[in-house]
Amino acid sequence: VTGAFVDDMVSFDGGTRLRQGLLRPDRYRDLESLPADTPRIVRGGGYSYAAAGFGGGGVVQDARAFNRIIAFEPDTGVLECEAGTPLGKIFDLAAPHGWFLPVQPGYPSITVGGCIAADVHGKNQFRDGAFRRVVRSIRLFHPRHGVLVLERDETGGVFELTCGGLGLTGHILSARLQLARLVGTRVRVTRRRIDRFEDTLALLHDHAAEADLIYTWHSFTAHGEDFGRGFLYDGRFVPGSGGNGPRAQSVVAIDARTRRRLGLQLLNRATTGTFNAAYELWQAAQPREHETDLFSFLFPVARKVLYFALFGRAGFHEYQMIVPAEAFGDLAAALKAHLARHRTPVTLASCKLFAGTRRYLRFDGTGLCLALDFPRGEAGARFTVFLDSLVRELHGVPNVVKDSRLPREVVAACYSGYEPFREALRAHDPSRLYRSEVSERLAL
Amino acid sequence: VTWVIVGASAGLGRSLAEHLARDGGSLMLVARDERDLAPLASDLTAQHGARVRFLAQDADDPPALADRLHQSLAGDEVEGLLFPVGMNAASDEGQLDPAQVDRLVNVNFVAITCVIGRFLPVLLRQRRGVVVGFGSIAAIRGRGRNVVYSAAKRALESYFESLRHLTEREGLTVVFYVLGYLDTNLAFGQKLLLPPAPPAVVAAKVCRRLYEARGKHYLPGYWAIVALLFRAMPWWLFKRLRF
Repeated sequence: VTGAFVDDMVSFDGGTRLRQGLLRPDRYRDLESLPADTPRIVRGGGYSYAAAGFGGGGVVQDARAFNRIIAFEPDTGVLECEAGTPLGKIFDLAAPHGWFLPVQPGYPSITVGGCIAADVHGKNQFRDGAFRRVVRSIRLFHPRHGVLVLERDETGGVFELTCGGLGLTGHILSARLQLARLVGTRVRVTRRRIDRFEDTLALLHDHAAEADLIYTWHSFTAHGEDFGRGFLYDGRFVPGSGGNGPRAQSVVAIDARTRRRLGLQLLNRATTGTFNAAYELWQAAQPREHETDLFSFLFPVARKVLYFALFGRAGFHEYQMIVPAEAFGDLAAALKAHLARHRTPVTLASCKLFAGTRRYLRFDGTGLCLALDFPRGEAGARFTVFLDSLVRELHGVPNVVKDSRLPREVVAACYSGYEPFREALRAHDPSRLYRSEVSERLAL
Repeated sequence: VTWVIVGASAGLGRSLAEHLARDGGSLMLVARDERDLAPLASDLTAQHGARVRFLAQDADDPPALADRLHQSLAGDEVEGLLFPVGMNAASDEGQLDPAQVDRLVNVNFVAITCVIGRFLPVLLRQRRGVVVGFGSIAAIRGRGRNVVYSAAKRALESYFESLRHLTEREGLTVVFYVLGYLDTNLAFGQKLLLPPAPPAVVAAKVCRRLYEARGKHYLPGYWAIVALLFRAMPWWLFKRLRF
């Protein structure tokens, strides 16, 4: 393809690496100049853990030049921007006017298009839902359909298919988003001790309805009675609080490529226990309540990029699943038993509460959401196989964009929306022009 | 006061627009496609509160460009004209068809002279104003590639020299930057002698010395050495180079 440059691309977890033609369009006519039958996939910030923004055998279109604010109404909080706009830019623009995106992931270079395509969740999915809740309309380009304006309430269903559609319905050009009013710019975070992993669900239930931020941290390298002990973090805006925190422009940058710069995997079997113990001690030494600025509340990962770099060239696995509340006891017991026998170095175990209905391949539903990070390697690979069977057994769902290896059978078995998504996608585009490594692996 | 940027929708032009808007300037952006200009204008207004207007006009029609721009700026005080406009053709190796030759010469040379010509009476009356042109390292010496493009850029360089001479005592600031590789779509993915510079960095340098710079400069500066070497190279050696 004219203008394409063969480049190395890697998923953020380091699991998928490919050489592929890359285009960097910076004008609208560049988008049209690609022959209409050329398979392609659009890439945003490249922060998807799975290869959702490359692969698939076609060309990759880097959308980051399309990062302009089209309109912002400080009276209503409605913001329209191009899909390559990073969340940090929206933060920098909207926060001084008293607005913020109530649902967003924790790193400021992630783009709006990526948030829509993965229908990401934010600080409290239980109360705030997923990203599509803030999307009022989308402009979508597909060579077969031209530019479609998808309204949230439309009947055609392409809006529904595009939110969480993994970028497979076309090129998301721009979106209108409804921001939320800030009641303050500081957040008070309260930490509570969790003595046993089994107490997690009840604790989350006690606090999730009111919290602006809620999650737990667990040590999965503490064994026996102490397995999964940790902390619950409950954050709430301090009404009327003011003051300007840092701006998004000031963050430490990391991307899927620079994450791998440190060759060695410093978080490994030998170090993870100490790493977790040190974190636990450090946390326990902090005051039970502390206040944080708005930026650190919205983008916690911006201050923790080193964590990802410590996995080195080999990378890491993340396994994120939602299991129904009634399956939580079995989940806890199974994990405890498995990790007692096979000491996988779990570097992060964190829970959130979810509420919602699931459709297609959207990571949504009601129950407990558990995220586990562990280094890539033999032990890690064995653990993923165990988790694959566990999530099926417990009638849960794994998060497709968090796992660059998730097998098709697991996704098809867990998601009742797998076939409907596949069919709707084909009805929308019989030639299946937009393809990625994810769509090929999952036979979408 | 208004800054006019011709070729504003992408690359260096867009970076210059972002810089000037940040510094509080009022802008007139000119490029071919309204779809690129409208979001850029709204973005700069939303972010910096800048007054930004735009004109969608192809530089392939120089008289129309000059006329429409002049009309849409009637009554405005023009602080400066910047011309980060240009195009090249992959097949520019001596056998372009006449329409393509026309287009290359128009966009890279004629359009700029027409616009400047149209605004010169105003600038001379004001006795102040900044005119910034951009050349290319590709035009340092004629070679078997970028044949027409290089010729047009060399013509532009000569034009800017004349312009400076012409306005030396009239209070105008005329500067011509010879650009090395920029990290834009033009250079993307090509094997290059030296690393491409980010357009934002180059734009920052241009904007920092907007009122001070005069004459001809290389950007980034180390290209001056490269240019010197290429110019000093004897023909028997130069003819062997394929680049």
